[in-house]
Amino acid sequence: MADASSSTQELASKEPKPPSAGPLLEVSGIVKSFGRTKVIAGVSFHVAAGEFLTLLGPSGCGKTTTLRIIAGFEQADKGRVFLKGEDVTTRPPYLRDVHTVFQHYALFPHYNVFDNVAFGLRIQKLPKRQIKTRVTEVLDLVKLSGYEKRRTTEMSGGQMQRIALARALAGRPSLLLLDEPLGALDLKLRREMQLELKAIQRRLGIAFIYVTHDQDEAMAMSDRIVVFHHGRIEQIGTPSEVYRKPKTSFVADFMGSANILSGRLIGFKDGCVRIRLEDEVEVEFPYADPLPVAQGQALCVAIRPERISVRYEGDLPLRGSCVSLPAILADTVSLGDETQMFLAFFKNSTKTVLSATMEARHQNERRDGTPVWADIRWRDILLLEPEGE
Amino acid sequence: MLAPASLWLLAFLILPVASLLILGFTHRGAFGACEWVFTWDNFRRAMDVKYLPIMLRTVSYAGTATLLCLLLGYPLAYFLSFQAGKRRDLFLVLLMIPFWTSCLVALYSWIIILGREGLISHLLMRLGIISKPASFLGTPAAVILGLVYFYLPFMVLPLYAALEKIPRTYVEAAHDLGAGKFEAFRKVTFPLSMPGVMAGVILTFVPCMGDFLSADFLGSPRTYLVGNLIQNQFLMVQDWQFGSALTSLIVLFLITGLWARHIFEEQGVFEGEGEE
Repeated sequence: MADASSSTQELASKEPKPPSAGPLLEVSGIVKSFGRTKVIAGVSFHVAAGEFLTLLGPSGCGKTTTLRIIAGFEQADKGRVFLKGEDVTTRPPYLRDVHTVFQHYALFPHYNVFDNVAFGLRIQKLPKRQIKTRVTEVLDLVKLSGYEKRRTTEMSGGQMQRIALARALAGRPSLLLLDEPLGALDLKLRREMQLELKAIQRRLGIAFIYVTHDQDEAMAMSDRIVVFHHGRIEQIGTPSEVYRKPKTSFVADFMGSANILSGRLIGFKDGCVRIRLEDEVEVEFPYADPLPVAQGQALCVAIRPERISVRYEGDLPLRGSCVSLPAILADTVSLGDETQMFLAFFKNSTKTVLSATMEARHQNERRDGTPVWADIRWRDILLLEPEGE
Repeated sequence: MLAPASLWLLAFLILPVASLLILGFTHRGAFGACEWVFTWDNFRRAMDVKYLPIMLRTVSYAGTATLLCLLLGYPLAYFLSFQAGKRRDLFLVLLMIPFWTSCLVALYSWIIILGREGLISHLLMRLGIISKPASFLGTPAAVILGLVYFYLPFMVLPLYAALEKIPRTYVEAAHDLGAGKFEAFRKVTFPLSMPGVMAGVILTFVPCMGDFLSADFLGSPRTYLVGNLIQNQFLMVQDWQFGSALTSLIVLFLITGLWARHIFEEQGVFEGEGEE
């Protein structure tokens, strides 16, 4: 990686690459510490022109710091940032063709809406007429035409959000950075704004790097998702990739939810794995994907709750190709249109409780303590590297 | 909650000012005794043309000192707020040291520094700017220097507080939109620090208007200020009535100024560009 970046640097200094070649933005080997805390421990990824990339992770995982390094507000201790093939690692933020939508909007309180949106254009010294056209255009885009003279301090959160977006878009950057832009909005408004942001992004063809801790938001909007955890990247992939084929148990649990069971791979023959779950139950099923660990080693088994189907004694089992585990119905929680069931699978461990959802029509049959069967299709069982280390 | 504050204001602001005002309208009897007879005489005297040069001089000295405090204080406050980091507390303490020193000690030090055998005189001789020892005492510059020295913290502290209150993301947002350091300062930091500038100017200008120590120690008859005039009425001439009238006029002048500022502010004179 280090070799590649230094040679790219030389290339860039000799003859600038045409903008179409290579990714729009490349982040390579970023390391950053604040004092003694290592916030980012070696992060590399790229963004293609027009792509919607989401940096996803729980708070404190380094995603915002990564964004700030791309914007130029922070300097990386190690690693490089390339924008359109040019090394911009040490360039100040005002010399980067990148604009930011800040988490708390950071609208200038002493300017009205028009002046806020026109700020960057005035810095660029565009002719007045052109500034006016652009501001009108971009306010139209965020559906705030007619608000030009309003004071930003008198506006609602949703409106401030739109102005912040308009201000960042007015300069027509090739890359827009958004730092949890919908974090302060209520759920309903969030959903609306997600769709709108996505629509605006498609329409303008500007690449977005979007920071969020909300996996639903990431799933709904992104072309690709970069999952962060403890300053490292756990996985990069399309929303369906990270959901269906999580590489680590962290990703499996963070993207949607998952029951993570501890297991041990005790056998592998003819494409069939044999696994001992929670030191208690042994299951055998065919597994097509590459195995994460060698035979005899510990691993994690992830199963999504919605992939477990619960069957009462006497019901017909799920047809073919599934593993059936005996369980006790421990608790049920009604969530409106569906009911969440907690199942106790294992005698010795009290910690492992699987939850599954069932349709409302089964509700009157439920009784805590009832023995049931949990059917899980083979293809819904994910084998992952063990957690920790 | 309101009552203690109101009592405080009443005891330490309203009562003294009111008593001065009342005293200004009474008649001075023999040997400075107060005769409770209403008269305009004191005010008429205070507005006599012969005091106009003193008034104008005071306004110009106080104005110059305030401006110098602003020019010196702003970079200092900016540094404290944006750059000083962990050493900030140390610098704030250093800034407060003039407050801890007795005025008299400080003024005598300045007399020594500015005098014929003083530091400045020596320095200028060394540099070959002057050929024989010279005293800078008694000049308007010395008086203004004294004012700046005493009232600089009154400028720096409100400026510092205002700068400290500006969220750093505003500056980042300005940089993000392409503004270099100077432009970000001119278009964002400075306008947002205006409340601090206003507070600093008021807190510096008002006491400068009433100062007499600086002119007393570092000045000469040529630099006689309203403060000295008033002080003399109370302490030397024993004409409290005339002193009160003069004081009331100064207070009235300052209140008018503050009120005008308030009106301007209401009309948004101090706000952003607002251009279309």
